[in-house]
Amino acid sequence: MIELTFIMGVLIFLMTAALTSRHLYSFSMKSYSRQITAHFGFKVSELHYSYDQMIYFISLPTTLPYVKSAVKEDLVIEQDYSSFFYPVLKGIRISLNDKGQKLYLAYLPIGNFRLPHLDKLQNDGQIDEQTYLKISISKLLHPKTLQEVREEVYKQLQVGRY
Amino acid sequence: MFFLLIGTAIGLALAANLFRFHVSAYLNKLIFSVAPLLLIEAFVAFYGLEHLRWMILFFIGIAGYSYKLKGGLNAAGFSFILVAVQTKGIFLLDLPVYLTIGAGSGLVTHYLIHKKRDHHRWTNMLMEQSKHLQVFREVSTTMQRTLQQDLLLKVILTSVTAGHGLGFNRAMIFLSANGSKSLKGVVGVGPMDVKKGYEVWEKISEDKLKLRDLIEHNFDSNFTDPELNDILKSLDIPYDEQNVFGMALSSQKPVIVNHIDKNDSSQVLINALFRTEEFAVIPLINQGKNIGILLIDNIVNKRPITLQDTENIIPLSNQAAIALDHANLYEQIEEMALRDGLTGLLNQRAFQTILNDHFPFEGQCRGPLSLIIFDIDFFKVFNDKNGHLLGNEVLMKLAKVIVQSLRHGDYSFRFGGEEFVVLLPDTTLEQAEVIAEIIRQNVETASFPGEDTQPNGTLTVSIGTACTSHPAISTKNELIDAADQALYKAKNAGKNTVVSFKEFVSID
Repeated sequence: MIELTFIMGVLIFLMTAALTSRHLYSFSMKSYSRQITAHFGFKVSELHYSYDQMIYFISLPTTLPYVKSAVKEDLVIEQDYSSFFYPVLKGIRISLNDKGQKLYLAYLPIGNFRLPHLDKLQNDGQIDEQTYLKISISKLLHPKTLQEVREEVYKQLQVGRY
Repeated sequence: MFFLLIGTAIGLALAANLFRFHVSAYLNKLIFSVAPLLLIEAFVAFYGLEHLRWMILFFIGIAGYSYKLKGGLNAAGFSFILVAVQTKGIFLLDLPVYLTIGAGSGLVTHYLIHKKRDHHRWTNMLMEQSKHLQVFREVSTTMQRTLQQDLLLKVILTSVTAGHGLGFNRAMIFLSANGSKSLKGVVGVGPMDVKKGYEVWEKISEDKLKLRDLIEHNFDSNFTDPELNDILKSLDIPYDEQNVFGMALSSQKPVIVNHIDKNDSSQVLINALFRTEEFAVIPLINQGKNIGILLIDNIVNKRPITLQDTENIIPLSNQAAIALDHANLYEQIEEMALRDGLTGLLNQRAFQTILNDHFPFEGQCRGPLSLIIFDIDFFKVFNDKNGHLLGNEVLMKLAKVIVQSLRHGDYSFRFGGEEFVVLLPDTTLEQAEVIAEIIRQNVETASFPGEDTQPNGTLTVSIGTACTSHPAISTKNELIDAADQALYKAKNAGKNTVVSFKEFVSID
């Protein structure tokens, strides 16, 4: 009985840690970003960014009929983390669910998500790469940014870049 | 008691997660490793010490997972001591078990992380290749849609500098000058200094500019330092085997310049003008023909240019060279279709197009268009006496005299035989008469081969002029007819003279 209780306790400990780690990781990134940006006198929401380095896996504009006919809401954005217990955001995946089949359309690695103001601060030696990464994660995970990324991918699929 | 322990497990996991992401990676792992130990101690507090010896395996496993082999072994040693201290007894047989579990969890984690890193590296490499393929595909498609050199240059430069493309901070194109071993600066994209680079970068992100906008605005002063293009356009750099441009073109391979070679004047020039310490020269070659070069650098982020970078740019530069060569050939053919082969002046076809473009149709706010028409006096006699070959030489020389007599923006045409036309946009009849008189005088004073056989001993022209400002002229044909009638009048008035349509009207 004691053995079973302990095993249950261990499993619940691990499940709780795994299920809450990404949310609390994201929360810590936001909290850290808030502190740093307040120190420099700006807000994360005011930062301009570029998703120009998004990597697409299909032609732009697409000629695939089922992708062309997709609506914006069909696009699924997933956060790509390195692990459950020690999560680090690697990027975001944009895919399309077509009759239960997942078709990957694009991927934005976090290292390719560039923010000009942070580039400038980093170049001036005011922030380091780690701080840059934490603020950019916080910005990328913001619901408004994710919505804009969805709209951008949708536009690219419909009209292309050039 | 069961629910209390389950609650403790949840509480410990939550508390650990709440704190560990705010600290360094090392402390994060320490907190996550210590939390199971606290959970075990909670169980010990409720159920006694007899289960500690096997429960501690959970702590060793988590420590091995967190800190790999070293962490697993340390946790095994620590656990052995902890059990000994708490139970007040030494269980020597437990030590190898603890060490095996610690080493096992550490090694398995190490292996899995290693595999994951490998997978990550492969994914990154494939994504990078996918990106380059995508750039190449998009740029090729765009290039195939146009033969306009200007648009091609913009597409090439954008694909080299844009984030979605190859992401270099600055790119410049030099094209080979026809017939000479030199490269002429044509166009560039990018800032002249770091400050300007960040300003442009911020503005592009702020305005959420799309590539189409960038191509349209690329050469707008808001996005490209005009100083860069001014300097670039003034450059005409000779190349030979000794300088970096010549080396890239003759080897047909990119050349990366990491340090400026003071013995190479072209490197010194690029360094001095564009304030760059490191750049790469990519040759643009099509079927052995030197089209030009693409010069790239990272003036803003100072990222070193690697062989991998230049390797990635080669497919794009090859495609660019083909497209630019085709556009150049197309321009040449188009030019040939609009020019007279003998004199180099514009021909009848070009005349119709340009007349149409500049004729002030009713309702348009255009200035008056004047037309001068003239032919060589007694040219039939000249040909009979000197032959057609010398006649052709005279026509060629006359074309030069006409061009030298005109202003910038005036157009000269060979209308057929020895007849020539000049179109003068935004020019009144009075101004046209002055220009016509300049032409007449220049022809009269110029020296032509065989002109001594002419009746007056010199080659002369008779000229008729007309202008759209005249109330009787409302169509293109009427303008041509009016000038033609004036020419006829000039012929009848003794040749070597200028007669305007206004004069003709006043005489009648």
